[in-house]
Amino acid sequence: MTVAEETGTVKRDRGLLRVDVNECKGCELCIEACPPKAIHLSEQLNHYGYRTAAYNGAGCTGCGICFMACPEPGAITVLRLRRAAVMQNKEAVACASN
Amino acid sequence: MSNAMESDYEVVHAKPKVFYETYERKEELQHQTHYCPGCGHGIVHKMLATAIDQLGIQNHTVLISPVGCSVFAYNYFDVGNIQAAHGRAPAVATAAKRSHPHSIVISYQGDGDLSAIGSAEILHAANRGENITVIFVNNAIYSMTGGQVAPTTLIGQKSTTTPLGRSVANEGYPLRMSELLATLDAPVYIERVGLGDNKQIAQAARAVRRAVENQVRGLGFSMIEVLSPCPTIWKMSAVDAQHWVRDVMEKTYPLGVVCDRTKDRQPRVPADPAPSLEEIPAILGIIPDDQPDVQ
Amino acid sequence: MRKQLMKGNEAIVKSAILSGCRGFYGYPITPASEITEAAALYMPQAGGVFLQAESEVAAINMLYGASSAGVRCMTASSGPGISLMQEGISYMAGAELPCVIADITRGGPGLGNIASEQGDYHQVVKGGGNGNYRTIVLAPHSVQEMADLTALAFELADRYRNPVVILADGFVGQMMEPVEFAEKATLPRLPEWAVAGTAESRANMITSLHMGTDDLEAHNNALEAKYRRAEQRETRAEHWYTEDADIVLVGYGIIGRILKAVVADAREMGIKVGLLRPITLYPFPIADFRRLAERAHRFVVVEMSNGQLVEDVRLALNGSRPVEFLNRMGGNVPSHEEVLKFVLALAEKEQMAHV
Repeated sequence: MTVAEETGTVKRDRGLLRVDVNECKGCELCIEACPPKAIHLSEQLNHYGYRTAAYNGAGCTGCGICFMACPEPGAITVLRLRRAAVMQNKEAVACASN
Repeated sequence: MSNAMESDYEVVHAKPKVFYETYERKEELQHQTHYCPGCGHGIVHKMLATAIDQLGIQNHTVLISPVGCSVFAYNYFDVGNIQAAHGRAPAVATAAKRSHPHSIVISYQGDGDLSAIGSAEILHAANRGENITVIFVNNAIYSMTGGQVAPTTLIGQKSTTTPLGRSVANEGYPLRMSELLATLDAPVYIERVGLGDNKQIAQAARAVRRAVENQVRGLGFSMIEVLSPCPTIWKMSAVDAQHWVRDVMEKTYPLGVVCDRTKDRQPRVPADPAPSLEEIPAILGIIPDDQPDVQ
Repeated sequence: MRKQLMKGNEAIVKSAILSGCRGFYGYPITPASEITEAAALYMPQAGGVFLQAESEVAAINMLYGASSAGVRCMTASSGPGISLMQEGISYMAGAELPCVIADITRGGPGLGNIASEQGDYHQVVKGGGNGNYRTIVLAPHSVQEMADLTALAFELADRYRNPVVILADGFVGQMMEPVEFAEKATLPRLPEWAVAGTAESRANMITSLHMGTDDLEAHNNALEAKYRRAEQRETRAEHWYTEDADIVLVGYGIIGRILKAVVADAREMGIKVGLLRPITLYPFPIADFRRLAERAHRFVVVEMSNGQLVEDVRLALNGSRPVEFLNRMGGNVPSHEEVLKFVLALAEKEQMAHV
């Protein structure tokens, strides 16, 4: 972890993406749909031999478009920063820019 | 990212509660639908489940599943389920709704089911203005049986029963069911949506919700036609199939609200309460022993 | 309740409503239309649903929907309409849904004519739809039986979770006779398997689809077990002067009435003739036939068809006694003189044989 991350002074992504690796069928519709292009196709094969969607690790805005585009009910879960954390984030950014 | 940071996030989009936790009715792969990768059914299912969740009607919902790829919709939706014969879902829905008017009856059908074998049933259910919601998933082909021509297949589109491409001379023109049904007086809301890009998908979700809401409000017959990709039968990748919906299908099937009469419709008035059992013989003109014969 | 004069077709509807039928989905066809018309009049007044469907195909599928919702429901049609319903009947048997279907028969095959024939026996008794199933079939021969057997039909449909057919010919539907109805109107509780749009019924599912072969075999075995139970418990037949009969006449519906007159005439001439009138065509009253075969010498089956009931009689008797057959078709009715002549000729042969 960097000092910036540890002290919480780096700007975190507003969103977070989780993929259920064994429910995903690798159709790539979420990759196509994601506006900031924060999803890629994993090199790893899941249990059924599909290459599955995988979050890049950064860039998610929590818009939820991938969730709407995904044909599997539970393959994608989208999270967003809670309000308190959003405020903290803004402060951290303000501090860091000083 | 560390766990400490993850706890700052809350779930905003997850598997709708209306879906079963695990799909126990399936023989295998009980955590995954049987639909092909990139199939439009899964997307439409999610929209429908979301609408049911948001409207809080899970306990009152009755889903009629058709014959087609979505014959197994009952594996996934944790609501009352009735599986119907090919094309007959609107007739089944008619009686289910009239038997229990408080229930929210959804007829979920594909294009073979609705526009071919079931064309009479959908026409008359729409014409009677049955207070049901019809979700019409149109992928311009018969997928479950391996890719035969549908009434909705595009001109020139190849299928296993039109190997040289659909011809006007032999098969006629693609059937635009939304426009057809909109010519009837009774339907209250008909919209065609597509799954061709992000914007369309968002609009489709709104339309599905609207169609269910109309029934909750007791306004009458609503149908949403969803232009849907079928990567397997179209022999395309899921992303290419999505583009085909937007770039090719929508030239034949324009998106948009085809009829919206919700402002002019009053909610259905509930029927009068049924007479008591004691009153029934008199209603039937049946004379009790202790009364004189009636001429 | 007092006896009232009524048409058979009207008696069916009134008996149905008294039995708690609250859904009628029909389509006009001669000679059954009056049933749909009577239902249009009375069903809404009784708090039930009446709808004239766009076709018989739609009507039977509406029955599928109403029955799935746990409502006692019925329809009425004639041969060509019943043919259209066969897909739906198969689905309902496979999904274990109760319903009552009145078949007021006419001439066939195809458009045929609108006179009474008994050509639908195979269609409803052997099952005209796909797959391994049976429908219980009740055959009234009077307006009183139209009323009584309708009430029984709803009971059996619920008891076995299966479609039940009331097989009547145009005569029995159109004839006017005194009828006495049940004392009280009843309304059954919602079945616990119904899909009723409630929290309690949310987990319920109605389907006839069983993809796994083992699954479908188990399901078929369960259906067969139901049918075996029905065969043991639900056969009904009328024995009319059969205790000492040498010749047993067999017929159902309007033929039953004619044969009763023949029995009376033959007995006056000193010939010991009786009538065994099956009331349940499925399950067939096999035991009744076997019992009579111990004593009677001959059986005479009279039908207004090409020979459908007679096959089941032959099966039941299993070669133990000779079976004669007399039939008319096209809606022509064998007169009681015609039948009597046939029986007398037979009796004479018998006398000669005994010499």
